[in-house]
Amino acid sequence: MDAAAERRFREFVSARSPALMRLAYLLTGGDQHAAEDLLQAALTQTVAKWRTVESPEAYVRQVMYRQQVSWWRLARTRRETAMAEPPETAGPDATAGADLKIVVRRALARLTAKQRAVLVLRYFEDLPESEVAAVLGCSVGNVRSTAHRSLARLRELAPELSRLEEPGAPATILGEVQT
Amino acid sequence: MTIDELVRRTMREWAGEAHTPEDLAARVLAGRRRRRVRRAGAALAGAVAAAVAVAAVAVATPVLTGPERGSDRSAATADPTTRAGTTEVRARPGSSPPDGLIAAGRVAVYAYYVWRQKGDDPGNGVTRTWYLYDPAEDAYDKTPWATLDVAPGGRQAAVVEAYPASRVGLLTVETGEIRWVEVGQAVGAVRWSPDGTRLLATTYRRDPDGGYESPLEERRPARTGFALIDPAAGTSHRVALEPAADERNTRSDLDWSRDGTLVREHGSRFDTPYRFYDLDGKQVAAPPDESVAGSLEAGLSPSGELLAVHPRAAGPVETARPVETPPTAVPTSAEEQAVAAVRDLRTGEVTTYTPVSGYHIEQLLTWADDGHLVAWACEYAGGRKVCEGGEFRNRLVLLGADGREAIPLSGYREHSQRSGSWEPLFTPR
Repeated sequence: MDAAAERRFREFVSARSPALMRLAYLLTGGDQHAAEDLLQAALTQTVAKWRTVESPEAYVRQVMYRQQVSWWRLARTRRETAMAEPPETAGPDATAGADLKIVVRRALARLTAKQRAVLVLRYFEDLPESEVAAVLGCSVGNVRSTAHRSLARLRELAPELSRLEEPGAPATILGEVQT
Repeated sequence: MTIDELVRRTMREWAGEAHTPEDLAARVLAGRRRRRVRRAGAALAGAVAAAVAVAAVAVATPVLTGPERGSDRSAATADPTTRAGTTEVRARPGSSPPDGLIAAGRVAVYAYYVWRQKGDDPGNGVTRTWYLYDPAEDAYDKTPWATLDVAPGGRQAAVVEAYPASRVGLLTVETGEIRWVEVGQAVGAVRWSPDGTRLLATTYRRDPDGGYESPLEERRPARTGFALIDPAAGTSHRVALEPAADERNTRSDLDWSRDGTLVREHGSRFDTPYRFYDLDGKQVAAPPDESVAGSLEAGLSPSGELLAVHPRAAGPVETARPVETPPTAVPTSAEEQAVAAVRDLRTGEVTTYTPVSGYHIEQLLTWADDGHLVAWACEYAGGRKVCEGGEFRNRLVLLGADGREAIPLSGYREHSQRSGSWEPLFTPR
């Protein structure tokens, strides 16, 4: 890597690392250390291909998603328990807005990495299923079923969310995901 | 609000809490340069790693004198309160890392750490995140400390900030209050004396978790010595003690001898597990109760009558005998696969731990009492495959020294050698 390429890499990291860090943070369930590791590992892969990568940001994102999912494959039960905050039973006021978001955070942190990755792609990145599938390297059907299971698991972990299913709310979770 | 709106909003807010390190690009580029320099030494490093792996496997197992009736399964699911002086068994067989106290007999896991490799190269070093037990919540809390040690009883901890912090904090666990003692040199590890009245801090000139700066053969020892701290007086006293010339690890922490009168370090040979120094840093002979060639990590039982050993290094205590050359064929019988044993020093009788309660006993870590050990164990499969999921998928068990029974204390670590795994710290209760 010559000096000019190195400068461009530094500029890229400086400009894009806050956004990339936010993504890494969500993917790791709010674990700052793990998020830094994830992003650093992805940047290391990126710098190795710096000359040939057309869109570095898209490449880093894809590496992080796939890395996270492959780590999950290797260690699925551990990932589910290795969370920054232990889960707690929500108190009686858990349906108040702020409390409910805390409940959702804790539940998100307890999902498997793949379940979380799919939800991050769908809800944080706002990608359609076909693009989620392309990023993760799996089929649309797989994305759909994972999203369904992820939301179902979220409700299991946070029973308070059942209150959202009152009249006016979507009839099924699956319907939401398939739009 | 629908669930997807809620998830969307939660994620946006939550993501905003991420902290962006300022030196990310520098870290990545520095790692790249280091890797390039290191490639020349990679073959040698690989050979050493392989040797270490063989040693680790070789060092693992005795079987023996089972748990007494007091530590049965019903006791293992006891209530969540901790009582001073108790010896009850506290197990969390469903969680890994533990989500509540693990304890048995005289020892408890008041803290554990989760380690992660820095970047994608093992040479970059590791970060450790320490979790400390909070008796009020019966849960482990994440801490900001780079390293720590819990005093016997679990009420006080010595904590150290990120390298190169040169002070040691005395933390009262219940209140969170910290009192600092200056050491004057960067501290990489800290150990309470067995009686909980003094602290031994290992000092370093480089971050002991910082990875390798240079090819293996060019490495300088990172350790500079130790500091003795008197917590009551708030004073410290430094002593120079570099590691032996053949020490290749960046971390070479010092610990107390069994009786707390000497400082000991791990030896690099199987037949000399420890080297001993007086409190001025002068090497001295091993005390009689620690000259235990071939012994495993757990060492002597509290009474001094039983010794954790490798089953194929089971000679007289006084005679350092090299371990047999590992057989070239894959061991398939339970006896051949056994890597842990206990020797009765009174009779010379050796109890070898062939599978116990379906567990292959891998590492004898500490004695819970004179009849029980805490060990890492994997799920025994038999044949050429020693364990289901491999030898690195293991859990803590409480093993009867008679080898009749083992009960789980923790859930399984999916892979003990991979980033994200956890390691317990055992402390007298």
